[in-house]
Amino acid sequence: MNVIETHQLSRRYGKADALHGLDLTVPTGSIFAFIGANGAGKTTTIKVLMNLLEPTGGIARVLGVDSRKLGPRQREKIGYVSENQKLPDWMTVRQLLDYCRPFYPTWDRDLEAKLLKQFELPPDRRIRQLSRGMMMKAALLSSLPYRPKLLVLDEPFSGLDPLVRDEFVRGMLEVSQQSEWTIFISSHDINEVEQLADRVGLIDAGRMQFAEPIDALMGRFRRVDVTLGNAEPRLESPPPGWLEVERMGNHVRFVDSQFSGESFESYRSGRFPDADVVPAPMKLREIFVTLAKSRRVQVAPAGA
Amino acid sequence: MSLTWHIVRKDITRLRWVILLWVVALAGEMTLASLQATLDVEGHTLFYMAAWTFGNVFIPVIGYGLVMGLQDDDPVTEGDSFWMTRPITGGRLLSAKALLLALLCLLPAVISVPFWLGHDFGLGALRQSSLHVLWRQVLISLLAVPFAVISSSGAKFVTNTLVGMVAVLGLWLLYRLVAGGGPTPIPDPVLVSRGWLILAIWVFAAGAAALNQYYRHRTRRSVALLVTAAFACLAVSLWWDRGVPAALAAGTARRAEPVLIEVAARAGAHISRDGHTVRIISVIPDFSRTIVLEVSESEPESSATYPASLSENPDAPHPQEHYLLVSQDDGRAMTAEVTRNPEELHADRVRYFRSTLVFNPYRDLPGNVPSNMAPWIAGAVLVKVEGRDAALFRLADPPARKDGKP
Repeated sequence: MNVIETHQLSRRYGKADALHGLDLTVPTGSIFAFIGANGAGKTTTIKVLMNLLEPTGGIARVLGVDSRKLGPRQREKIGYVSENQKLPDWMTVRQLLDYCRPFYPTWDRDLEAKLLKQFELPPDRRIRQLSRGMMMKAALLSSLPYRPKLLVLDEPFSGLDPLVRDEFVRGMLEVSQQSEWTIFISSHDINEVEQLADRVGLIDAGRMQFAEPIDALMGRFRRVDVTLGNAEPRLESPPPGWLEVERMGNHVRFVDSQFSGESFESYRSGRFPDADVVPAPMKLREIFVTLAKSRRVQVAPAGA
Repeated sequence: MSLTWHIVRKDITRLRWVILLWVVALAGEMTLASLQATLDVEGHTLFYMAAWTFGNVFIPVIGYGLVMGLQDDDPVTEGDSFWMTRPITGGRLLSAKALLLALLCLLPAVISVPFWLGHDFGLGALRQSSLHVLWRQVLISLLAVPFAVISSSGAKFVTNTLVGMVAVLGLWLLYRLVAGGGPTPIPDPVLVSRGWLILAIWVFAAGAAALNQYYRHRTRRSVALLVTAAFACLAVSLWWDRGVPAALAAGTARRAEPVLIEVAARAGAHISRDGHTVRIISVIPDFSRTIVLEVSESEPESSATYPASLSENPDAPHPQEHYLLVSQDDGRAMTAEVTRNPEELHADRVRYFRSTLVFNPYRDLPGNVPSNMAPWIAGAVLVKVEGRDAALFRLADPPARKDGKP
């Protein structure tokens, strides 16, 4: 079962399209990293999913319910933490927890106490007096003790130092050990979520570029270094899966985004018959940089 | 319901210091009124001005700001307010806010009760006074709610209020432009029906905007609705020429029978006599403001023709009970009379004062009512003078001035 499903989801601000027919599927139990550059449409997508914005087209289903009809029953199972969220900053941390608690029948006070201690938050300090990192931890703290089925995090690590980020992640892991849940986490930096996520999706200019398990993604991307021999390589009409193809003397370098044993053997024998061809695994960050660059190259002629 | 109260308690906690300030201000207003009742208005002008400012500006401004304070923590404009991300429906939040707003509207009356009781108000006076105070805060809330629900923060609320004030000024200028300068008198029933219609339009618009914001968060739609309502109010004030429907008028008339409120002058009023002038400084029951009624026939030229009613008259029947009635005839002239017969006071067009004023029937009659007084005339005040030296006199037919002017 999928916790989140969108079909042809669109959202327009005036004449500007923020989302273009977005199709997205997030399976139950996954930790989904929703990656995209600033302005790609991540926050808009999340706001539509949370029914903070209405879509102008298409449909989004969250926990099996049309996002426009999300009610208290669904929200009791959803945690939401956003870098832009306005917390009631006049409250102390304790007052925030006291205020939130009655709205959730499944609130676990033991877990609350445990997380409060783990996050090292001063319970009697006003939220407006907290640092940014502590404020994000307070927001997370108010979203975990009821063990949500779905935790939505919008750029939660933005501006956080590594120490706070680790605490943040440990807090989430604390809950994930005790119940099955789904985390949907957006970020503009893959490094922030690489260690956490098992699935990843890339959004660009309001369109979903891909969404798949990280293992599968890393399995199909290879940086290929070719040292040419005497035979001239066949570089005309490269396959659509090749990105960043460049030649420097007797070296050819490209990224194969559809790498498999069969395809490798095929082009090694067909295009580089007398060459030393070495495919190397890529890091997730490299994959995203490559994809971002290739997108720019595709767009550039139209904008030129 | 418990979750609704939970939100109410949260808001009370947040606003506790502002509410406390308001309570202190309300209590202060009544304290000032008590002091006013013992002071000579002519010798304490600055005090009276300060008291007036306190009661008519400071307290309403706090009451107005409190409405935004209620909304400020849970904005209902489009966005990701904290409450929208929690299991709180718009309906529940609206219920909580409406509940607390209702409690806040009742608060001034609740605080005033001990003061009123201290001034010997009877049940009728308590009811009348409570309704007046409640009505004042309801009107303030009706003005504030639309601006509060379309504002995402306190700063925007202030900005929107200022924009609203400028818009009202613009509408007023438009009204003057379209209505022309000719002083065409508008019959009272038409004025009344216009007033009720405008109130109904605004209540509807404010309610619809609030519902739209709490359930749909579509601020532009609410703004459009309010602007439309403002123009509808302008249209009504320009072109609505029907009076109150007969059936409604009959009902209104029944409800609007003059309620004459008695205030025992001795309870808090200060009565002084200087020659032919009786000055009664008292606190009227509709709220804690002071009324100063100065009834004089001290003009030497007129004293001969005027009844010597202010002289001691121990032989007058029922000397222990006299009533001073002040009434407004047509919005410009004023008459005053003292009578022993309360039945006579149930005449049409009886009005009473709701503000501090000094009224000299000789000087001010028949067509020279101070302009700042007219807006406050809205009923009848009946000052019951018991056992004091305000003897029976009648000023309904004031003497002509020496210069021949009426």
